[in-house]
Amino acid sequence: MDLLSEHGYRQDGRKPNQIRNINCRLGVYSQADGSAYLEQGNTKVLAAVYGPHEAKQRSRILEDQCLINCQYSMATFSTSERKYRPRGDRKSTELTRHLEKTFNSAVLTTMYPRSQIDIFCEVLQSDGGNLAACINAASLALVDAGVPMRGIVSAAICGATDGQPCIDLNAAEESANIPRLTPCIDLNAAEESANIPRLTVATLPGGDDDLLLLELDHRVHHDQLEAIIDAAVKGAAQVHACLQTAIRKHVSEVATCLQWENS
Amino acid sequence: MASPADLLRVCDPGEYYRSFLERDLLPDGRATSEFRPLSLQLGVISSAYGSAMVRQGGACVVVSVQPEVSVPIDGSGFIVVNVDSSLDATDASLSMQAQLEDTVACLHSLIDDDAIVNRKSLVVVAEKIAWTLYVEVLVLSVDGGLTDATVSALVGALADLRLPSISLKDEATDDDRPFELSKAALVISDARHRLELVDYPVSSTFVFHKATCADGDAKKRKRAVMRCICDPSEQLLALMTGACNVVVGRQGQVYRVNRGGGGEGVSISTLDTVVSLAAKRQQSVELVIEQALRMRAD
Repeated sequence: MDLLSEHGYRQDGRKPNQIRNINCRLGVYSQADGSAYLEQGNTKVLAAVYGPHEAKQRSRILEDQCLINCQYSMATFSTSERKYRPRGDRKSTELTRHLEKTFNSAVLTTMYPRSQIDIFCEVLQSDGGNLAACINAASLALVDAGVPMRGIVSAAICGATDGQPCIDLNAAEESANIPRLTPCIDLNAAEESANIPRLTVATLPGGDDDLLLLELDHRVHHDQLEAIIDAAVKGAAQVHACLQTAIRKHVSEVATCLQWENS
Repeated sequence: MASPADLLRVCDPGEYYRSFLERDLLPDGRATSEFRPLSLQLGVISSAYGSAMVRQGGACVVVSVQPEVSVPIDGSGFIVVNVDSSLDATDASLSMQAQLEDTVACLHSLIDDDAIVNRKSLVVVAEKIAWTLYVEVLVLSVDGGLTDATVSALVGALADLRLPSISLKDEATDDDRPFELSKAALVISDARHRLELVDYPVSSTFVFHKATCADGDAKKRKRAVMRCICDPSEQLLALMTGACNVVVGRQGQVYRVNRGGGGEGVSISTLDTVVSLAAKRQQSVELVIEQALRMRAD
């Protein structure tokens, strides 16, 4: 299976630089301090934020900043095959670490010394780009919780086939085994495994040096890397526009409910 | 009596390091574009079929590989990685634990990616016999370059690995019965052979430092210079969150780019510099491994 058809379209009819539909809501739980639900195509994610509150474990208290504690989990029914997914397996610990790293740099952690912010992400339906969707959802939940951040974090995943980058992959595309129809320029193409390179980036808008997270799966040649990162950053910018619209809408709704003056 | 520099290091490590970094130097006398020397020793564990010890700065890692015979699944053998550390969980700092976690993730992704050994090449007899390689990683001490040292040690141990020759005794068994490894007659000879490595991936760690030009005019001062610092020490790594870890193989093949958490954001052009530096580093480390292999063969 090739990522792109001969006419340059993807399996689900998108163009290479097109993201999936984003559908999101802020403030879905009343118990949590902040929460959000996000659909990115068929990937559905719930995120909840608790805090800032006093750090639970004394040994983990940081004197000068707050601790960001994340948990990534997948529902048993999230994939086509039902599977019990215990917390703390290798993949989810790795993704948890990525979430923590991302929000450690996005949240103004020095505002809350000796405290802790918990971010929980649950993947309800998995259809590719889980990490990116979780970051987007968590970012909305943090906004809902009113946690000060350097900006709204947005993330996107990007793959590449024959040097042509495609953003926001779905599950079928993520697992695609690609026979290379046209030979790549680089010499190692023949011995490269069929796995496509995938890259997840998280960015803060504004300025050009704003990559918060960069995670590459599978091999890619140095010469292609820049094009892939560039495409992924542009994808994240599209996502950012969607998130911003959602936040504005949410805020204006809240303002109407509270009968604030529209200024 | 502690020198003023030592006092500054304790009181204000940020300022201490800044004074060095602005001169493109590190406190241990290196230039910021220099890596700490790597010492590699192959065959340190005589009972293992392949082993390596790597020391890079304060980080020290021993890796041993033990092959076992198994039945292949989906036409490939297995590589099982176990990481053990002498780190005491109570007195290890958070950044050390984080480094250890990142190292484990890095090793697993390299194995899953067939970056070092193609697991299909571990099959000896199709659908009957394949090697399972048990890789034991023992982290003796943690310092800034832990991931770099561990990846080099893993590649070294796999390069050092000599597998015994193995074959099935009689192929003339009736095909009706399913193949059982425990009942098969295996012939194991003493002739050892090396494993063909796909690539020699090398990991490099960087942190970034944004400095304003102190001796420029006002306009220049605003334009911050982004500095890439190679191979940071433990204290520097803990101080400057947002390290970037790059694994590069031969001919500019990039296996892993991992960056996140804190510190300054990084632009695409900075990242390109980092990958180029890592590619240069890969060549020198590959040379070290090849040299060690030659010495071992003699």
